[in-house]
Amino acid sequence: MDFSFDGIYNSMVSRLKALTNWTLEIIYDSVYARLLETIAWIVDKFVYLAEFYYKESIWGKATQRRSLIEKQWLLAYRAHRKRGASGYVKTSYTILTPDPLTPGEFIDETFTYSGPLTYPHDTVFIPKWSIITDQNKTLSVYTTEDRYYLKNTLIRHTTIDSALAVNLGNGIVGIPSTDHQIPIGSKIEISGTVNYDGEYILHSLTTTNRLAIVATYKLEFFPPISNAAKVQTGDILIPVKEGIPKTFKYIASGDINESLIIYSDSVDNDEIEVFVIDADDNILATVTILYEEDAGREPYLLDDLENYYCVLKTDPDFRYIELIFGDDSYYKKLTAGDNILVKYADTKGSDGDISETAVLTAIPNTLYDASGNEAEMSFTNDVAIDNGSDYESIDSIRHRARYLFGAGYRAGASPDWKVIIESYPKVYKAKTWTEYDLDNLSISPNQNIIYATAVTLDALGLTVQQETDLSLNYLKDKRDLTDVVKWVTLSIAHIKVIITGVVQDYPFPEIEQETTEILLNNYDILKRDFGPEYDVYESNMIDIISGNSKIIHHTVDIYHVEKSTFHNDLDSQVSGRKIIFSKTEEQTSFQDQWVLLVETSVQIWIRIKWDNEYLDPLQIGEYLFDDPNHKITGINGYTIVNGVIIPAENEVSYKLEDIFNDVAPAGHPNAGGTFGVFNPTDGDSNGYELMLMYKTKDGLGRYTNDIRMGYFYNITDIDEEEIYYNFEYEK
Amino acid sequence: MFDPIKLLPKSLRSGDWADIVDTFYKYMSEDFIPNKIDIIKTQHFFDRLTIENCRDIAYEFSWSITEGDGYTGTLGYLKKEVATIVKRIVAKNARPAYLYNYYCVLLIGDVYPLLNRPQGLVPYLLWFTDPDTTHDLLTLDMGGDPIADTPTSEPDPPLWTLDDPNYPTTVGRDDDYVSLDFFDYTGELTRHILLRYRHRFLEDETQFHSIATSRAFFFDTLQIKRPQQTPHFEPIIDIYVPSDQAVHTKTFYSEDKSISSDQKSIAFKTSPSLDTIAHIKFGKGSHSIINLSITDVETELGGSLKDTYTVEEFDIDIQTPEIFYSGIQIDSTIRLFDNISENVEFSEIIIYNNSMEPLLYTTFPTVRFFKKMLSTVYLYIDNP
Repeated sequence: MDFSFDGIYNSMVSRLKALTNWTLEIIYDSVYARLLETIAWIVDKFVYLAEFYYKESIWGKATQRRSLIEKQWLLAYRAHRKRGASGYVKTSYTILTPDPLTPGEFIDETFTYSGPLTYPHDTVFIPKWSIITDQNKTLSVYTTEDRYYLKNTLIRHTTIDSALAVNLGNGIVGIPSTDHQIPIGSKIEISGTVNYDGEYILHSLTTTNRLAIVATYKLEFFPPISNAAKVQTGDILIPVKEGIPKTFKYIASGDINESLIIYSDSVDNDEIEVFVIDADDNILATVTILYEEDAGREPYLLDDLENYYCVLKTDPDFRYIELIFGDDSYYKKLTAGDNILVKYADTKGSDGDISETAVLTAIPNTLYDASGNEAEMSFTNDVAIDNGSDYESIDSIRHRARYLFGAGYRAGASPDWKVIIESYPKVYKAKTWTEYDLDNLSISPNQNIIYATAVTLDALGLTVQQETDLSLNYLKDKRDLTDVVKWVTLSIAHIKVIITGVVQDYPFPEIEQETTEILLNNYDILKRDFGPEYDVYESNMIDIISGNSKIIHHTVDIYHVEKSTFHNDLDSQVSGRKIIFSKTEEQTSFQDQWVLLVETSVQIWIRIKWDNEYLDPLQIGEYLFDDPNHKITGINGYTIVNGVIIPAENEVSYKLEDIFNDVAPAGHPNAGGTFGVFNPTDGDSNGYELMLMYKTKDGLGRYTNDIRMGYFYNITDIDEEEIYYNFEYEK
Repeated sequence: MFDPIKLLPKSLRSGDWADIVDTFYKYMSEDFIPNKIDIIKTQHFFDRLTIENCRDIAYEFSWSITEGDGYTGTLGYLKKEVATIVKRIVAKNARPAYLYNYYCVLLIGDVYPLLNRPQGLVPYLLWFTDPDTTHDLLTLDMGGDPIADTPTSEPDPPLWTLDDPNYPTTVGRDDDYVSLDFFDYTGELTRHILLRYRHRFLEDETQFHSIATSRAFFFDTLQIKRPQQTPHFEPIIDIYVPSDQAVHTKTFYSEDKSISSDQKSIAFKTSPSLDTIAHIKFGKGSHSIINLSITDVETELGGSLKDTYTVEEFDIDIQTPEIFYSGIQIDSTIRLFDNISENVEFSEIIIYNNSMEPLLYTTFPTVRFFKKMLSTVYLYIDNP
C-alpha cells in the first residue's frame, strides 16, 4: 500500500469510482476533487509523522539522541555529558638563580634544577578546583584532587646513563643513573624512555649508581646523554581537567523532593560536588550524588534519613542538570533554610583539548604555605591535556547500552566469571573452572565451588589481599548466594632452556641478547595462555630461535622449573610432593595424555640473595644414577638426605640438611652463618629461593624435551635468568 | 502552523466545506495524533508509562509481573516493577536482584545464605563482608534433597570447634573446606536462603501487605532465585516497650504519607526475668484498648495454623540482659508457618512466661504471607 500523497489520493478515488453515484466528472472536475486532494495531503503529513515516531520508538532505528536517552533506563544505561580534557600539570618550588647573562637579574630554572635541594618552607596546600591557566589566560584547567607540596621535599633533576635496563628479578628493574643522590623511598618520575616513563617509588635495591623500580622488565638501551632519558624527584604531578570551575548556591524551601536546576549545557559529566554549608560557607555535610540508572546505587534502595543525597538527572537535550533531594521516606529531605553549594565545571568538551605543552604556567589565585606565607610555586604541563569529549553520540548510546546489557554484570556462566575477574585492574588474565570441568561428576560439596586463578600484570599470581578485594568488591554482588569462590595458587612452571649452537661472527652478548628477546616475546607468561594448547615443544622453540639469523644451527635442552617463590611448599623439607603438572593413570586412561616425571632429570637449585644482591643460581641437588633407591644427592657443598623419587606417583621427597639446620655451607657468602629468610621479599636483604627442575614424558616415554601441561589451568613462563647459552663460532 | 484551508479553492475557503476540512484537520491533529500516534514514540518514556505500556515492556523482556487487587494493581507498582526489570535480569541469583524485589513491594531488607547448624538453619550474616578465600571457606552443602525440611540433627560429619583436638592447627590456601567463623563453629552452606526484611510502608490503613502483594513478592522471588534454592521469608517485627508499663505507639505511613496506622506495644512487668520467656503466640486481631488486662491475643489465627510456639523453637539472643528488654533478638529457627495451602496473616503477638502470664503484647498493621511462602519471624524487642 502506497502512503504517499498520490497513493492516498488514488486510493480514495478508486474507492469512490466504485460507487455508482460518483461520476468521473464529480471526482475529477468538481470541488470534491480539491477536497480529496486536501484530505490526501493532510493524511500524507500524518503518515509521515506516524512513521517518524515509529522509527524513534525503536532503539535500533531512532534518529534523535533524545529518543534513546528517554528510553535508556530500560537498559540501565546513562549517556554521558561533555567531559573535559584531562591530563597533569607539574608543580615545584620556584628556584630563582642569578642570570649569568644579565647581572642583577634572576631566571626561573624550575623543573630543570639539578639540585639536590630541600624545599625549605612550610607545606603548601593546593586545593581541588584550583585554576591553572596560560600566561594570556586563554586556556583554563582546574585541579581535580587536593595536593600538598611537603616541607623538606627533595628537589633533584638528573639523567639516566646510556646503558641497558637491568632485570633484578621479582618484578624489579634497575635503571642506571650515576650518582643520582635520590634516597630509597623517594617518589621519582622517569621520562624520555621507551618503556619506563612514569612515577615510581624508589625500591630498596637502589644503589649509588642505580635506581631500582617496581616494573615489568623490558629490554631497553637508554640513549646517549644528548638525548638523555631523565629522572626527577620534587616535581609533583596534579591531575587536571579542562574547564572553568563554577559554584551555585541555593537556599532550600524544605519541600519533599526539592530540586534545583543548573542551566548550562556544558557541565562536566564527572566533576560535580554538592554540600550543605553554613552562612560562612563552611561545609556542614556532603551530599552524595546518585543516579537512577546506576545499578546498585539507586536512590530507592536507600534507607537513610541521617545523611543527604540527591539524584542527578540530565536533560535529554543536555540543556541543564537537575539535582533532586530527599523525601524523608527513602533519604533525608532538605530542611527549609538549608544552604546548598554546588561545585561544578563548565567544559568545552572535545574542543577543549590543549595539545601544546609547557603553556599552563600561571595560577591566578595566590597559594599559601602552612605558615600563611605566600608560596613560590611554579606550574607547567609536560603532557597534552586531551581526550575531552562531547555529549555522548547517538551511535555510542545505541551500541554501548546494548553491549553492556548483553554482556551483563552477572557471574553466571563460565565466561562471565573470567570477564569479571579480568576486569580487576591488576589482573592480566584469569582462568576459572569447576568440578564439572575436572570431569569429577560425583556428588560432593565441591560442586558449589568456582575455582579461580589469575596472572597479574606483573606476571605474578594474585596476593591474598588481591583475592580478597576481588571476592568482596567484584564478585559478591554479581554471583549467586550459594556459589563459593576458591582461589587457587597459580599453577605455573617456568621454562629453563639451554641453547647450544654455532653462530656467525658476531659478539656472543649481542646474539644472546637478541635471542633472549625472541624467547621472551614468545614464552613470557603475558604472551601465553592457560592449558595444553600452549604446551612448549622443542621443535617449535628451535624454529622460533632460528628467527635469529646470526645462529647457524642449534639445539635446545628444556626443563620444567618450579620456583619456591610461586610454590612455597618447596622449602627445605619436601615429602611426597607431586610435580604440579602431574597427570597419571589416576586421572586418565589415555597414556598419551599422561605427564610423568623423568626421574633421572631431577635437579634442585638455590638462588641466594645476599646484601640485597642476587647471586647466580646454583645447583645443589641431582639424581644419583648409581643408586637403586632413586636418591637425590647434594652437590656443590650441599647435603641432601632422604632424597627419594617415586616415578609412578610423580612424587619427590628430600631434606636439604644445610638449609633445614640453617647453617650455610662453604661457598655461601655467609658460610657458617645463617641462610637468611626463605623467599626474601623486597625488604629482606638476605635469603634464598629454591627451585625444583625436571623433565617429563608421556605414558609412552615421549616428549621428554617438551613442556606439556596436564590441565587447562596450568601455565608456563620464562625468565631471563633461566636462559643459558653455549655458543661457539663456525670453524 | 499549517492551515489546510489554504489548500482549498477560494470559493471553498469559507462555509461548510471549509468547516469540514478544518474539523477533519483538528480532529486528526488534536485527538487522533496525540492519542494514537504520539504514544508510539513515547511508549517507553518512563514518566509517561501507562499500565498497558508496563505490561508490554514486561512481556518484551519475558518478565512476569504479578498483578492483583490493591497496590499490585496500581501504576505505581507496575512502574517500580518495570524500572527494575533489566536490573533484576542482569543481577539474577545475586543479592541486588533481591533488593530490587523488596523495593517493588514496599519492603527493605537483605538476603543471606543459610548454614546448617545443630539448632537449625542459621543465616550467615557476614557472607557479604567476608571474602571468599581458601582461608575461611565454609563447609558446603553435603548434597541430598535441597528442599528437605529444616535439618535439626547433628550434621555428619560432625562439626569442629576451636577446642576440638582434631581441628588442624593451620589451614593452607589449598586445604579442603574446613574453617571456623567468628562464632566458633562451622556450618554447612546449604541451598536455603533467607530473605529478611522490614515493612517500609503501609499498603493501606490496616495492613502492611495485602495477600496480593505478598503473592507478587513470592513470585518475584521465584523469578530471580536459582531453581535449587529454597527461600525463607522472614519479616522483622520491631517491638518497642517502655519499662513503666505504658503503651508505646509507633506510627507507620504509606509511601506517599497519605495513610497512617499505629503499632501499639506494652510490657506487663516492670522488671521481668527474661529467662522466663516461654511461649510466643500470634493472633490476627487487635485489642482496641491496650492495657494490663490483656491476657491473650484478640483473635486466634484459626484454621490449621499453629499459633503458639515454645521458646525452644526460637533462637533468642539477649544482647544486654541487665537492661529491660533491650536488644532482644528472637529469631525463629524453624519455619513457623509452613502450611503451604493456607495464606497467613497476623497482626498481634503476645509473649508469655512459663506460668502463661503475659510479658509483652503488641499489635500492628497486618503482616501476611502468601500460602506458598516458607515463613519465619524475627522479633526485635527494645526500649523506645
